[in-house]
This record gives sequence, structure tokens and C-alpha cells, in this order.
Amino acid sequence: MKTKFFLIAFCLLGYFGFAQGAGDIVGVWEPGHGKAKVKIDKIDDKFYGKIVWLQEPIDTVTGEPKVDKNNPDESMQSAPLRGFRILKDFEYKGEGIWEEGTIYDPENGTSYSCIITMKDENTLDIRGYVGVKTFGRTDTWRRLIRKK
Amino acid sequence: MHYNFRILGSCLCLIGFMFSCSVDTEKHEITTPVLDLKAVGPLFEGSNTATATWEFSLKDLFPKLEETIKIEKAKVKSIQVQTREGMDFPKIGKMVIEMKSKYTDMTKIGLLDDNIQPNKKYTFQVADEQDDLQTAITDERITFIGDFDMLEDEYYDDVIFDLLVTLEIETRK
Repeated sequence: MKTKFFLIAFCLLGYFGFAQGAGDIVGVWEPGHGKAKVKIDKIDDKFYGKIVWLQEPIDTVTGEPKVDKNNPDESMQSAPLRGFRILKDFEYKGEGIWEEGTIYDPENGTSYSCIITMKDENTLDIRGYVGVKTFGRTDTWRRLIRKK
Repeated sequence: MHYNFRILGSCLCLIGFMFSCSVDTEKHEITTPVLDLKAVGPLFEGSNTATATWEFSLKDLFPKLEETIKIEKAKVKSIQVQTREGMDFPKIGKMVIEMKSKYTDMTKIGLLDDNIQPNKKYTFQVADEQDDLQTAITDERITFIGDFDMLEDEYYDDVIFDLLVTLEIETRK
């Protein structure tokens, strides 16, 4: 009986120890390539992520700050990359999953459907895909934490 | 010859069908009231965000339309941002304006490719591609988001810009 009680208590501890809420995604995250930092915040009822830091902020060709030169809308190609919103319109679906959003790749000017899964409080799996979730690519992002 | 008449007849039928399906619309130019595009301080060097919300009712926007208002098309015609007279302001670089509503995704509508100076009015370059704006108008509540680059290290007050957006809206007659 005692063993059963401890087993249930241990399981519950594990469950509540990593119970996520919609706002847990808010913060600054580093994609796997480490070339940028993305701040995710909430606007109205959805979540958005914008680039707040670039490892190489200056375009080596122009000598000017990098811009969204691959945007298919030519009128917006001089929008700065620092400050660019690459994650858009995510809704929290429960159990550490945010869906219905898109991720933008400034390297080719393309937006992909995207699903975000929180693996633990400091790790996100970001899966971009076209059409079907099976055909996509997952990147792991890590939360930036102040070193103590 | 007989074959050519058949093609000509089909084309005329198709054109007739297209005209019968086209909807008769009326264009309206609507400008928002002056909105507070506000970034809550403290602000730090780099990208910061200011937001403004415009709530309205379609009946108030189109008081002359008596029947049910059906929005067929909408697009942003102009965006103006003005810094407030006499208000202290940090150094600010480029700004991008996006908009969203409850049932529409966030979409980029304008870009200011210039540094923002105090006591000046700026007209933004409007995006060529604008999606889903008619749905946003139907939602009767639009949030405008301004992402701007702050060039100073830090600034401890709120920053408020006056925002004016003009839309061209087509309603069904």
C-alpha cells in the first residue's frame, strides 16, 4: 500500500513539475544554428517571435545592417532583419504545443506552417513544414538564461 | 468555319457569365482616428514594439449604408506616424507596421526606411501585397503593431506616436 502511494505521488510530482501554460513560451530563445536570438511574446491572444540579436548584423556586401532582401514583396525588402517577426500567429493548444502559426526563413523569403512543442521549460522543438506535418524539418531552440 | 463559330459562341457565353457574376461595389476611403501607438518603457537598444488598437462598428463607419454591410475588398492606402510635439524622444531608426485582428493573421502593411526625429510627421511606404484585410474590417477591432529600432542604450519613459491609417474599402451596393 505504501509503495503504491509513493508511486502515485512520484507520478503526480513528475506531471505537475512540468505542467505547461500558454505563457511559458514567452522569453528569448536561440535557434540551433546560434546565429540569432528570437524573443517570443504575446500580442492580444496569440504568440509572436521576432529577431532581437544577430551574430552578424552587418551585410558584408553593402556594409549596412542586414535587411529582408529575399522578401517576395519587393516593397518590403528594406525592412531590417533585426526586429523582424519570423514566428507569427501561434495559438496554445495545451500540453506544451503551439500551433496554427508560421515561421519565416529570411534566407529564401518563404513562410512555412509551423508547430512548436515545448520539450522542457528551456527547450523548444520548432517544426516547419509544407502541407503535411510529416514532411518538414525540426530545429531545437534553447532558452537564454542568465548565468548565476 | 462552323468550328470557329462554336468557339466564338462559347467565349461570348463565358464573358456574359463573368459579367452576370461580378458584384457591383462602392469604394469608401476611411481614416482611423488618431491612435496612440505606444511602447511601454523601459526600452533598450535594438528592436522594441509599440501597439495601438482601433475598435469601431461597421454601422458607424458607413452610416449611409442602410442594409447589411458586406465588405468585398479592403486595402491600406496610407500610413502616417507623427512624433508628439514637445515630447522627449529617444533616437529611433526604421519602423515596420503590421496589423492583425481576431480572425486574421498578422500582416505587414508598411515600412519607414528612415530615422524618426522629434516633432516630425512621416509617411510610410505601403506594402504592395496585403492579405485578408476585408476580414479584419469585418472583425471591427484591429491591432496595429509598430516594430522600431531604438538607437540609444536605454530610455525609461513610454514612447507614444500618433498613428493615422487610411483604408480603401469596397462595399457591396
